[in-house]
Amino acid sequence: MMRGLLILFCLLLSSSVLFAAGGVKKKRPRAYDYGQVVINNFSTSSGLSPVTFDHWTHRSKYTCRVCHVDLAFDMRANSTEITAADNMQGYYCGSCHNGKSLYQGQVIFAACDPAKKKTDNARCERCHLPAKDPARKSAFYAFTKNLPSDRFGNKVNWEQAEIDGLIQPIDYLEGISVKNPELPVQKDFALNAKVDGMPDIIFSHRKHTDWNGCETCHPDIFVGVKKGSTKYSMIEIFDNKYCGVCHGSVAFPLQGCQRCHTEKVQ
Amino acid sequence: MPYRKSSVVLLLLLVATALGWRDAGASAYALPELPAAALYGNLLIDRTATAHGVKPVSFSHWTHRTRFTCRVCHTELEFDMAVGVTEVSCDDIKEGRYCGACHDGKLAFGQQENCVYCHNGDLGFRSEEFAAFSQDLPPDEFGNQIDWSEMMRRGQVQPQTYLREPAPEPTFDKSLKLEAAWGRIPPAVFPHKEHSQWVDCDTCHPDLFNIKQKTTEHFSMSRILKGEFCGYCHMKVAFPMNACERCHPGMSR
Repeated sequence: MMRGLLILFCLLLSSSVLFAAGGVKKKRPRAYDYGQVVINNFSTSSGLSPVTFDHWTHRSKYTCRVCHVDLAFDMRANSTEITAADNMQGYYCGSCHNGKSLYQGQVIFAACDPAKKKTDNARCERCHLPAKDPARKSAFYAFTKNLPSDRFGNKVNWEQAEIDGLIQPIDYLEGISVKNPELPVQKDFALNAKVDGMPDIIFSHRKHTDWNGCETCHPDIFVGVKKGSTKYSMIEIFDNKYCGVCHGSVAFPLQGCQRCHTEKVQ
Repeated sequence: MPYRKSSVVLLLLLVATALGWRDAGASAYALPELPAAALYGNLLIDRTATAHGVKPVSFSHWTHRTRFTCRVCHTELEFDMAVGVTEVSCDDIKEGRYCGACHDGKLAFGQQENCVYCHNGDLGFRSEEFAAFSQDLPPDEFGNQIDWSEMMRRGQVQPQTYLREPAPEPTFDKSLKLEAAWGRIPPAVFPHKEHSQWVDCDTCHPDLFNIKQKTTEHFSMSRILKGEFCGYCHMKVAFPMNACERCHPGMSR
């Protein structure tokens, strides 16, 4: 009797919490903050500010797969557990941020240099950002000013920017990447919407493989390449699963419904 | 029977919780008092204004919504739907973001010449123009006392749907029948089409309403009246909830 009542009371209390989802709008990240990741596995405990990583500065220079496949960065913040020692040995960030590698003829600053001097603090703070830096916002707007615009996320149509040759993301790191023989790319196909009246999704492997190769999505996120082999719903996608792994945090966000639900090939 | 005393306490707790919920329900159904028609949808924005020694910004939806649909400001220009949340700065406006997208001295009055046009701290700023403004627009009983949907239907005024970035028109136009929780209340009818002429899908989905009807089944009038779900707009800017039969067509007042 006692136990039953207790359970019933707990259930009544928790039901109000369970049903609290929805109904309220979440604050969206601003265009310059979209794709920003704060990494704090070891920073604070080492007396440093957490690392603030902006995807936009990197994706204008490198494809997704360079970091997420070749450099083995996980797709979730803080799950890679990068240490200063890793960077110093040339792993993760240190693969490029080593004070030697070049990007367009410019030396890429070193991350976590073993020969750090006190005067190096400014360099450490490029990643271990002590406070919100308004210069990052102006740098973003200056950089994206002439890129094709989009409605959501960074408000930059990155795909179009690449087609127009305004950005040329590097897909191969000398000494790190491995040239794989290219697989034939499947033609664009329709994923039928489950709700009557909702336009079908036209999925393009071509558009995705340019940035991601195969390994970013297969087999972890989508088991097979065959249509229908992975079952998922829009609810799960909104919950950052499946397409939502990228299209909620870095790639154009899910608010742009008509970007996928197009019915006709773009 | 050592349990007896605590069982009674628990039972009393249960009854009290149930009664509390009933009372909360009853009081929540009291519709909030509406401001004057010229003040409905007006806001004072004071994120940092007072702290910077200037008066809060007054903003009225009615001066804007004959010219632009909701989506221009709330989607394209990234204005949040809660007051004082969007980090609008002087520099942003100067560089053509937020208010500055139109208020550049060319399309609409600029920031430099007319500070007091916005920074006046007066919720009823330009109220005296309201009567003349609303004169020819279809009348309504509540809110701004202007039937904005009818205005759209008549094509009397055609607010712009975008500034720079054309949005594909939402094609999903299904009307949903939402059964009321109380047996005596006729169902609410939700028309997608009427909404999508003003807003984009993202205004409501997935934050306010997840896309599946059954996932938002639990939303109740008491929460709507607290400004959640439909209440996000229909308590502050869009026609207020006093007009029961506009959503519950079978209802008589």
